[in-house]
Amino acid sequence: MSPRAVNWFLQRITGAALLVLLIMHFWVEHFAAEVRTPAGLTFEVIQQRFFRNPWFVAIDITFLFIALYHGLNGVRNICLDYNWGTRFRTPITIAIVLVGIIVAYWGVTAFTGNSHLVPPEARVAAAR
Amino acid sequence: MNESNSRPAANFPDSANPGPFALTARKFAWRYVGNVAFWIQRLTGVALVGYLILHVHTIHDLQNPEKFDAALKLFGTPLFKLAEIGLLATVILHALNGIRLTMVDMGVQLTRQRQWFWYFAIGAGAVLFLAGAIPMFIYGILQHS
Repeated sequence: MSPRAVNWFLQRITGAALLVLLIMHFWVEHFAAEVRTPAGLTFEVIQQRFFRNPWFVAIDITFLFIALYHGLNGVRNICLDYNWGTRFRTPITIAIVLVGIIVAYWGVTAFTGNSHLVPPEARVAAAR
Repeated sequence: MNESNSRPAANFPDSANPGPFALTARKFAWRYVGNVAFWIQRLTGVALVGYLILHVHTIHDLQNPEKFDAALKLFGTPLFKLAEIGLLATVILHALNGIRLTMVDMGVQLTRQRQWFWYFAIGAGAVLFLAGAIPMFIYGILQHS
C-alpha cells in the first residue's frame, strides 16, 4: 500500500477505535458511580482512580495518541485538499506534526512524573 | 430493489407538483446531501481538533491540583454546560456521519447512502443527542447551584 492509502485506511481504523474509546470516556467521566455525586468529577476522583488502576493511564495515553492522529491527519487532509501547490505540502506536514508533538507532550506529562497521582506509600518510599 | 430506493425524491407525497420552496428543500435534502454531509464532517472535525487541544491543555493542569479543580469548577457553570451540550451534538454528528462514510468506503448500503445521512446521522443522532442533552440541561443548568 502507498503511504497515502495507509493514511486513508488508518483514518478509518482510528475512527472506529475512537468510537469505542469515546463511549468509554463519556461513561467514565460523566456516568460512573464515582462522579455521580454532588461534587461530580474532581481532582480527588481522578487521583483515587489512578492509585487503584494503572490501566487508566495506559488507556488515556493511547486514547490521546489515537485522537491526535485522527484529528491532525484530518486537518492535514483538509489543508492538502486546497490547491496551494506542492511546495507547501512538507511545511504543512511539519507544522501539523509539531502541533501533535506539543499536545502529546502536554497530555503525557499530565500523568507521567506527576507526584500528585502517585499513591502516598510510594511517595514515602521514593523520599526515603 | 424497488425504484423508490434509488430515486429518493419519489418518497415525498407531493412529488407530482412541488412548489419552489419544496423543490429547493428537496434538492438540498437529496441531490446536494453529499455536499451538506461533507461540510458537516469538515467543520465538526476542525471544531473537535480545536476542542481536543484545549481539553489536553486543561488535563495538563493535573500537575497542579488547585488549578485543575478551579478549571473544573468553571466548566461546571451553566455557560460551559451549554457549550458541552453543543460539544455532544458535534461529536454525535461527526461520529455517525463518519460511520456512514466508512460504510460508503466499504460499499455497504451504497445506493441508500443519502437516506443513511438523514435517517441515521441526523435522525438517530437527534435521538442520541436528546438522550444526552436533556439530563445535561436538567442537572447541569436548571439545577446548577
